[in-house]
Amino acid sequence: MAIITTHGLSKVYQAGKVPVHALRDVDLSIEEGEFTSIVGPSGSGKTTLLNQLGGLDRPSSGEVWVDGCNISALKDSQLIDYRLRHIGFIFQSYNLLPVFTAAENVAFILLLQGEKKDRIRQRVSELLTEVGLGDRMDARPRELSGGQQQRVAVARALASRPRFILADEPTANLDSQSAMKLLDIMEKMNREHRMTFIFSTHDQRVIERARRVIRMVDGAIESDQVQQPEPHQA
Amino acid sequence: MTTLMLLAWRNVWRNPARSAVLLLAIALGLWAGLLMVAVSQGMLVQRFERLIEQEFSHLQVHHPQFLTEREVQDHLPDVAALQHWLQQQPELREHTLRVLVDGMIQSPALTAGVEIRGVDPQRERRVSQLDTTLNQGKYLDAALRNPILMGARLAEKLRVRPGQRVVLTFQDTRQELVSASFTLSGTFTSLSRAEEESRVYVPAEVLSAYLADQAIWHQLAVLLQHPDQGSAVAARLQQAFPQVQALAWLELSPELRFLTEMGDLLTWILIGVILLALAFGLLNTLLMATFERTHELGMLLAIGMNKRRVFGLITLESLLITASGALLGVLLALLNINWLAREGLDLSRFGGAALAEFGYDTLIVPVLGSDELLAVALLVVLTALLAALYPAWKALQLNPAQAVRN
Ligand SMILES: Nc1ncnc2c1ncn2[C@@H]1O[C@H](COP(=O)(O)OP(=O)(O)OP(=O)(O)O)[C@@H](O)[C@H]1O
Ligand SMILES: [Mg+2]
Repeated sequence: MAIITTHGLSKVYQAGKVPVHALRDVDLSIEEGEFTSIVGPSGSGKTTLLNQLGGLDRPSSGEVWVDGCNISALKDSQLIDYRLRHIGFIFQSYNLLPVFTAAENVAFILLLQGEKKDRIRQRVSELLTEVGLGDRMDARPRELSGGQQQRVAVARALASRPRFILADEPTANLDSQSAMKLLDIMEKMNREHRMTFIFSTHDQRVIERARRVIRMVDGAIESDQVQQPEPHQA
Repeated sequence: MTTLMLLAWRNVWRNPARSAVLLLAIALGLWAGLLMVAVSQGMLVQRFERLIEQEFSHLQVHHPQFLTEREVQDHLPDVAALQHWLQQQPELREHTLRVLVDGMIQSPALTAGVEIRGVDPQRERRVSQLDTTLNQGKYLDAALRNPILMGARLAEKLRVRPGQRVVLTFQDTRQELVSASFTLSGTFTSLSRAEEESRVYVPAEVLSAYLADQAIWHQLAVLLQHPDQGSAVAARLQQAFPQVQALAWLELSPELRFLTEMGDLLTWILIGVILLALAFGLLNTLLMATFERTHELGMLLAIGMNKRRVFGLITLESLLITASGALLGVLLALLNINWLAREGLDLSRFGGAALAEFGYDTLIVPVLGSDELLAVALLVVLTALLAALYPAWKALQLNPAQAVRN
């Protein structure tokens, strides 16, 4: 069964007098366990689409259904709570609170969810170990490399036990080695936790790691292909 | 949620220089403000107490016409009954009787108009502390025949020293002029220049004997346990003795009433100005801090931190920095005020001599009431909350989709 489906999803931005059609009538379905990449030239609507799927913004027309719930119909406050409990986010940057350590950043989302403190400690340490940062738990973001920061973001996204994780160009600021390492971790999470990942990217090497590639042009889906991912040679 | 508190606290110290400046500004503002409040309150309280002591007591009783006419023959009726009644009042602290008459004083050098007060030396010192204001000679010296006490300025003008003689001239109850010779016993200083130039004290029995055949009194001055009791006791006395006029200090002195009301107003204006400055300083800093963190606040909203918590975060940041600054400021102020209360603040060193001309002490003992301190603390907290409203509201207007975009 599909986790996410969109029906006639459109988004029009008003840039001055000219309307910008950032999404045009997108029909899309994402199944549980997918490892899907959204690609396309700059301005093609990747970020807009991910924001719609994550309930960060409202469509101009059309609907987004998650697990049989029309999230476009939720009230603002319900939508925030929905995001907290059901969706994981990894952004290109500004993922972490600079005044919190890696562990505190991961713990924070669990506290927001109302998790008990003693259970949080355990889980945070497991997750940070899983993303290879077991020894950097008490480091502040500025003491971590870009790649390490993104891995903390992955740990945090996973910590909240979401239905799926959205990542908008998670590797854009990373060198290719860190980018591949991040992909390794995401892939491992996808495999071991059956976590659904949807990520946008410009990077050909990242695209090759996906099992499904949705290509966007000018706000519409141009192609949607399932592919055999390139095995990563570490 | 303690984590929110931790986050807020660390956010406050993200820009240590900016926060330190704001914190110090709050602390110094509060310190200066509280100090000013305490000094002005101290000044007014002292002036109040002086006026009560030297002039009005808490309540005075006269013949109904005396205050307007000041005629010698308008002396108090039923003095014994009045005294007896007073002694039964639980509020009573001290009381004394005075003979009041206006006249002339004469020395070889000069003749001047004077207000002559005939007093009971023992009771007078307990009501007005007259004996503590001497700067020369002795208090109404019982060893002298007809001793007289006068203001230091008057003695200077008359060019007389203790032991030398002056002549007082006044009308008796039969409207005949009487002259009598007195020996200067001592001179007193007063905060009021007019008083120091025109008032003399003599023993009541001496004065009374010149005025009439029997002892007469014009004024009954009463000190109570607390100034606030003045009006109530005056009203009771008035009811028991309709043939006299009993007035509390509030009615006797417009200045005293003005002082108490003005003192409060002044305090709150001062505090208001400080709070206003605090509000704008806070607003400015919080707005800056919010705008600088657009991405971060957007991220928090995006991952699911609800608006109530985001609002709480910014409010907490405001409260934390304000509370830290205020705590420091209050501490400084209390230490400072305590120290000044022990040493006294000598305004004459700062050109405060002019104050003395108006009858104000130049050695001020600052006072700060705990009521005022508590009210200020609450108002500061309220200001911090109010100043946080707009920045917090601004943060809630963020569209997370926009805020997380690069
Ligand atoms: N707030 C906005 N107001 C007006 N136009 C917008 C707004 N946000 C996005 N757009 C426009 O919508 C279109 C799609 O933008 P979007 O950011 O989704 O593209 P993208 O594929 O993510 O591009 P990139 O690869 O550069 O990140 C672009 O033409 C963009 O200029
Ligand atoms: Mg984009």
